[in-house]
This record gives sequence, structure tokens and C-alpha cells, in this order.
Amino acid sequence: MKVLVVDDSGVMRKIIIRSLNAVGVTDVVEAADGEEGFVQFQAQPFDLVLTDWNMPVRNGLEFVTDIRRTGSKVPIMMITTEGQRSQVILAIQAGVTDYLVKPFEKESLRAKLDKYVPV
Amino acid sequence: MSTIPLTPAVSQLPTPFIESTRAVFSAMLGAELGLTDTCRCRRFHSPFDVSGVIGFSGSIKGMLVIGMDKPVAFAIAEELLGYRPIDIDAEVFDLVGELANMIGGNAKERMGDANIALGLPTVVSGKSYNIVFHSDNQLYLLCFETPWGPISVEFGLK
Repeated sequence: MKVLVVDDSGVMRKIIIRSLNAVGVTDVVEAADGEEGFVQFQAQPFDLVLTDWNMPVRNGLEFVTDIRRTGSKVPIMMITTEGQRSQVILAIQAGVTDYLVKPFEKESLRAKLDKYVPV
Repeated sequence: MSTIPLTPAVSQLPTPFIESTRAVFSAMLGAELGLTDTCRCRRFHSPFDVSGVIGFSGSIKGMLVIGMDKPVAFAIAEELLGYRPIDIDAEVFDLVGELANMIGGNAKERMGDANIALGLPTVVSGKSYNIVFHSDNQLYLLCFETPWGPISVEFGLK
């Protein structure tokens, strides 16, 4: 399973990758913003995309829209501080499959990842 | 310290920031924070080694600053990343900025106003700096005790 992790915080990417490793996912590609993420997305196939919302250059919502415009149905989980209902609706309308609000407990992220990681 | 006593009405304003700071440390680090002081201030205080700054815009304008000393930042990094930094490096900057981002974002959510926007975090290293808030900002200082030492959260809002 190959996962793309997009977040402008290197620390947050590491926290997410530790959780991915804990559920057995080691094939992970990182990107620091939506533009870099979309370049990676176009360069290779992914089974899951995890993305932040607030990032410089190209934000998570624009990144998700870019992915869906390609016709891809890859599961996309947004992991963000944007927790208001109106924001969640915007993200779902853009094509987000799942949503996790920061701060999150490790167990919450792992429970979300379990849905996408094959046993 | 130049402070102004909190009246009952004013004492409600820091609540989303107290709750958001506690929520971030509880969820991400499993740490329960003690609130050791809350006051309204006339000027910026942070005496700490490293500070994360994040701006608010929209219906609320201002800034939030989280401050901590190196040992606290290193201990938090060790908890989150599994290894302890040896100095304030890009990773520690990133960590403190992300804490500011999560505390600001969570406070924004607790304030329940969809017209508040957060900027991207900035991190300052060293104690010899000052932040001058806009003159009509209401400035607050929150002091917390973490399992690894004290931190502060200061914010000025209009």
C-alpha cells in the first residue's frame, strides 16, 4: 500500500507517518504543500492520500480539487485544524473521503487508517 | 508584570484558549495541563527560549503566541517524534509552530465563528524580542504547567 502525506509541517508529517508505520504502512511519499503533492500524485499511483488544509503555495482544498479533476477515486483523508461544520462540508464537496480534526489522539488516527489499510 | 485584574465578563474571554491549549496537549501528548495564572496584560511578556506565533483575521483580529524553554520543547519533540533534539533546530521550530497552529485552530473552533481565519505559524528563537500588539487589542497571558515545565500562551484580540 502506498500513501501520500501532504502537510507543510514536517513534524506533523512525521507524526502521521509514525501512525502509518504502526499499522504496517511503510511505503510513504511526503510533500510540503498542495502543489508539490499534486506533482507526486501525478508521478505515481497511490492507494491513500492524507492532506492538511492550510498550507502555503496551494492549499489542501485546491489539492483535493486538482486530484478529483483527474477522475481519480483515491481515498483522501483531510487532517486539519479546520473543524467547523461549514468547513467539513466544503471539504466533502471538494471530494474528501474522510476527515480528522487536529489535535487528534493517536488512536483516532489509527482507527481511521484501519479503514483503508488492508489486513 | 503589568497586569489588569480580570472582571467576571473579561474572565470569560480566555476560556476558548485555555480549553484549546489543554485539548492539544491532552490529545497529542496525553498530558494534562495545570493553569497556574491568567491575567489581562498591558504588554507582551514571553520570556521563553522559543515562541510560536499565529495570526487571526476576519471577524476577530490579533495574534497568539505560545512560549516555552528548550527542555520543554525537546521533551515534547521526544514524546511526539520518538527522539530528543539536541538543539533548537528546524524540527523544533516546526513543532512549536504546529502547536501554535493547533491551539489557534482549536480556539477558533470553540469560538464558533466561521468568519475567523488563521494565518500560517511563525516561530521566534531567543528571549530578546518584543511583540507590539495593536493598541486596541485586548491582551491576555495564560500560564500553564506541563509535565515537562512551564509554558505560556499570550494572545491579543480585537
